[in-house]
Amino acid sequence: MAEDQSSDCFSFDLFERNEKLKRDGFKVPKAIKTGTTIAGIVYKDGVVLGADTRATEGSVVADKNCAKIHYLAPNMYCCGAGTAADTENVTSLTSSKLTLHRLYTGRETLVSTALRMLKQYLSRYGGHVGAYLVLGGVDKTGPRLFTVHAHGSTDTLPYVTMGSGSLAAMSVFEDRYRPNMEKEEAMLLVRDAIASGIFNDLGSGSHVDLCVITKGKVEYLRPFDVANKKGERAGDYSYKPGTTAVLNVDIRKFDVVDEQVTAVAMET
Amino acid sequence: MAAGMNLPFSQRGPAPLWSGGPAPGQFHDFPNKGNSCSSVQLPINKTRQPIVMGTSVVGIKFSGGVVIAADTLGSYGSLARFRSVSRLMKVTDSTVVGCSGDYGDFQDTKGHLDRMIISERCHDDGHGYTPRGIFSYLTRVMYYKRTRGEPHWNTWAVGGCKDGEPFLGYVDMIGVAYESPFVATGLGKYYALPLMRDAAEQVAKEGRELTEEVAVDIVKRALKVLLYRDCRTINKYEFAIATEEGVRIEGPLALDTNWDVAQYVK
Repeated sequence: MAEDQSSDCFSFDLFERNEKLKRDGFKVPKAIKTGTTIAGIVYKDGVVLGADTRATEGSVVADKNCAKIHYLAPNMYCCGAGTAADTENVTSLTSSKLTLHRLYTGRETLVSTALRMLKQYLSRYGGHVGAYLVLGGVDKTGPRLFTVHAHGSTDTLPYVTMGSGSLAAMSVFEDRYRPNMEKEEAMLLVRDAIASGIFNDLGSGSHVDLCVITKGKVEYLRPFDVANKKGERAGDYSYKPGTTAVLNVDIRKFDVVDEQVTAVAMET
Repeated sequence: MAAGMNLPFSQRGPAPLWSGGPAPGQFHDFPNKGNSCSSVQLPINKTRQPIVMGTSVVGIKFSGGVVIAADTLGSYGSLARFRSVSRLMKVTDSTVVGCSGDYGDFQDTKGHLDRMIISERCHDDGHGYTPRGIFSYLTRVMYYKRTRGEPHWNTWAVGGCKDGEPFLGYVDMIGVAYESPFVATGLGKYYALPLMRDAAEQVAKEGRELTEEVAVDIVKRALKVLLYRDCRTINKYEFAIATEEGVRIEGPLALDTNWDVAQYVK
């Protein structure tokens, strides 16, 4: 009995037709990417996740203030870089799967459960679901921090960065990260890493969002740092009354004599 | 061998008196004639791909001069082949340059710079090359070679201090050239520049002066990050300081690295 495999992953049957359409001049829409600087660290009491807020479509800023830190479960959040639709949908889908899982097990979700779900899903789509994630949370085993790549590989590290601004952010971490930092210091370090991406990477910009996850508590700080305030317009182009001299005033009143309301039949 | 050797005896003309030279009564044809404007064609000297390569050079301007630093590795692809190679050059008592990219092209330009400086010294007329002059020379050479389609596969950091005024510039293999208080080449652009810019901003915000000591410390931090994150580096570096007093190159030195986090990686 032939199993229908097509529902499990992408079907590339129309690939050749699409290539021909492209050759004949069909304009393929550009995917909205998040450009992005996302980062996460493990500190003394939990994890701190950070992200910038710029979404790019080619070299145009599509969204000046998008939210890149996605909810997965009450005790874990996920930052997403790569194709915006993919990060949004894969985290949303995994969040739903986790809720069902929580109802089934009756327990607080483990971060490694979310990790396993994400990596198995992404792996099945061969990297075509362009989601590059920083997954962080706190469960009974303690604070957990992972990265997930679009092809399904994961890394477990005390400090991570992803996205086009990841090198700028990693530069800050490599310079200043220490294990078991205090909360204020940890938040400042992540803020500085994201700011490094915002100001040195063109694909990242606008503001810094933070998410601090500890045992039993989540602080979702959006925005944490308004790094790029919209400027106040310096010039005033309004004209004060009297700018143009009034030479003559002539007021004519129109008396309404008759009012008629008729229905106009629709053209057939 | 003579052209008519395979023909039967009767069809052969007289064997030429010599080969490769002009026929009697004819003008000598230079090789590759008609290919270029000049009648003499120089051998083609293209760097189609860099072979022995140096990685990032970083530089920062401070209140009394500039500091430029680079590691001492000449990579041969992914092989760390030449581990004690100096990529910094003291050009004059006021200028120092650092070079990344193809090491052979660096040596070539180094030779040109040396000869230029010697001939300038021979003039002994009280003039010398300023840092900006060396920068201008490098820019024009790099752009000229790029236009001819035979680029010098290098990126330069040019630093110096003349009449108390520090100078720091960047020149690319395509002739991109600019002056900036922070300069980095290669992967340094992504790892070192953000760190150096931010560090200098912090110093200014705290109201401190960006002295030589502070600048050298910032550069060392940048090199440390590059050692962690750039595959083509080694833990051996030199740095050069150019101030009003002159140029000095220090090194080779090693960087301290911290691997405490290793135990946190499960």
